[in-house]
Amino acid sequence: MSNVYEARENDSREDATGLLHATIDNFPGGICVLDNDLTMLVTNRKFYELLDLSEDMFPAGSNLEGVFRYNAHRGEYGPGDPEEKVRERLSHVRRFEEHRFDREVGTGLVIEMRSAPKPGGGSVLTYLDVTINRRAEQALLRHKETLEELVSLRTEEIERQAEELRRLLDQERHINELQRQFVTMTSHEFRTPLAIIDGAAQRLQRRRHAVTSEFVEEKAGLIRGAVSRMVDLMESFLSAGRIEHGNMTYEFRPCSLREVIERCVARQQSIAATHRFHLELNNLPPVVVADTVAMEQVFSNLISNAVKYAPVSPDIYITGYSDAGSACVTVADTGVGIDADDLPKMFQRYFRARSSTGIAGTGIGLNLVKQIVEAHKGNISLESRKARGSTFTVTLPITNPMLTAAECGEAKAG
Amino acid sequence: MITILCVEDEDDIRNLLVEEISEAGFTTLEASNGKQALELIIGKWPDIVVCDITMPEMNGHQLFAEVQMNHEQLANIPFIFLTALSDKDNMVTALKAGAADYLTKPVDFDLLMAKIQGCVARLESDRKLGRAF
Repeated sequence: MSNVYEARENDSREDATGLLHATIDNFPGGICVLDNDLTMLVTNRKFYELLDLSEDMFPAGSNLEGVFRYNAHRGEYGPGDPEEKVRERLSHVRRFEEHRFDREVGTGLVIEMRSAPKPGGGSVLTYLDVTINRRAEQALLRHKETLEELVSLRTEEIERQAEELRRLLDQERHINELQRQFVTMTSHEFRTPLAIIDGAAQRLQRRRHAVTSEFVEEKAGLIRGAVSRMVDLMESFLSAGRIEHGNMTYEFRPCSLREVIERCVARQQSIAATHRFHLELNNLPPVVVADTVAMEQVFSNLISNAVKYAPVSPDIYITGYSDAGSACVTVADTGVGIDADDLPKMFQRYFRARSSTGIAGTGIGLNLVKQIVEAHKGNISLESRKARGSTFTVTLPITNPMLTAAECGEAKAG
Repeated sequence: MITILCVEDEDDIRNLLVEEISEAGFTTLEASNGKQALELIIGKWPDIVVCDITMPEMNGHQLFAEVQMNHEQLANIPFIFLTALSDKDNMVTALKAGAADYLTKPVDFDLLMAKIQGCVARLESDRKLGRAF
C-alpha cells in the first residue's frame, strides 16, 4: 500500500505528472508498466539501462513483444528458435500474475524481475540489479561447499587416523599378550630344569646314609643334564638379545653340518630316549662356511622342537643333501603339526601356534633359527599339517657369499 | 595301601617324584599326559593325584575338569598340582576348581610329602566316617 501526499487544490496537473516522472526516473530499479495488450505505458531510465535496450528503439508506447523479439534474436533467452521463445514469454506475461525470477542478462548482470498485476488490467514489471547479492550468495554457496568438502575430507582423515590408532592399539595389546605369555613360559622353562636339579639334590640328601655310587652317578647325570638345558636356554635368550640389538657376531669357518647335526641328535637322544632319529646325511657337502656355534643353535632348536611337538610320535627324520650350490637339511616329525593359518606367523618372535597348547616353550626358538639362517644368506621353510606333523627345510650356501678374500674370520651381522 | 598317581610329562621329574613317593611307602602309578592319567584314574582309582599342568594331549586343568564333570564317583580324589607355572592366574584357576593344593617347581620334597600326608589323613578320617568310597 503506497502513501501519496494529496496534491493541493492549486497544484496543476503538469506538476503532478512531473513529480511522477521524477520519482519513476530516480527509482533505483527498472520499471515498466504494461496495459493489457502489453503496450509499455510507463518506462524509466533504469529499465533501458538494466536490460541494455535503447529508449529510441522501444520508447514508452511501444509493445513489449518488440522487446521480446529483439532479445530473442540477440540470444538473451538462450539457444533455440527465437519465435518460440517470444511465444513462451508472451503467453507467460499475458497471464498478468504475480511472479518473480532471476535472469542473467547479456551484459553479465543478474536481474531480479518481478511482475505484479495492475488494477484495471495489465501489470507492473520491476527490475532490480541483484548481481552483487547473487554473486555473494554463490560465493557463500561455493564457500559452504568447500567447507563441507573440507569437513568431509577431515572426517575421513580422522576416521583413517582412528582406524590406524585402533590397529596400533590392537597390535600393542597383541604384543603385550605375547610378552605376558613369554614371561610366564620363560619362568616355566627355567623352573623345569631347576626342579630336576633341586629334586635330584634332595634325593641325594635323603639317601645320604645309604647311597650307592650308581645312585650318585644317576643323580649327578640328571643335574648335569638339567644344567646344560638351562645353559642352552640362556644361550638362546642371549642370542635373541644380541640379534635384536644387531650385535650378533658370527665366525664364518668351514663347518661340518653332519657333525653338528649328529651332536645335536646325540644330546636329544639322551633326553628323549623314546624317540627314534632317522638320519640320512651322506649326501651333505662335507663342509659349508658357517658359524659352528650358531649352526648348533639352529639344529638343536629344530631337533628339540621335532621331539617336543611330537610327544607320542617317536619317529624323527633328518635328511641332508646338496642342491645347486646349497646344503639342504630337512627335519621332519609326525607330531601335532600346525594350523594352516598359524603357518605365516611361525617365525615371529614370541608367537606360539595354537597346536602347541600344553607343550612348554617360549616362542623365541624359531625366530632365532630364522635370523641365524638368514645371517648366513640361507633360508628356512616350513610345511606342516595339523595333526600330521611338520617339516622344516634349512638351505645354506656352501661357500658363504659374505666372505670374499678372507675365508676365515669374523663378520658382523646387521 | 594308598596309591598315588604321578602325572608329569618330564621323565626326569616324574622319575624323581615316583622315587621319593614310593620310598615313603606309597604305591605309585605314572602318566606322562592328561589322557593317560584319565585312563589310569578311571581304571585304577588312585587315592591321590600329583599332577603337572603344562602337558601335551590334555593339560592338568583339562584333566581335573574332565574328572570333576564327567566322573562323579571320582570327583573326590584330591589333586595336588605340581607345576612350573607360578603365575596367579593358573593358581587361581586350579584352586577355584577345587584342587587340594597348588605347589610350584622346584618343590621342597618335605613340603610335598607333608601335603600328601595331609590328604591321606583326611581320606582316612573320611573313610572312618563313611563319607567317601
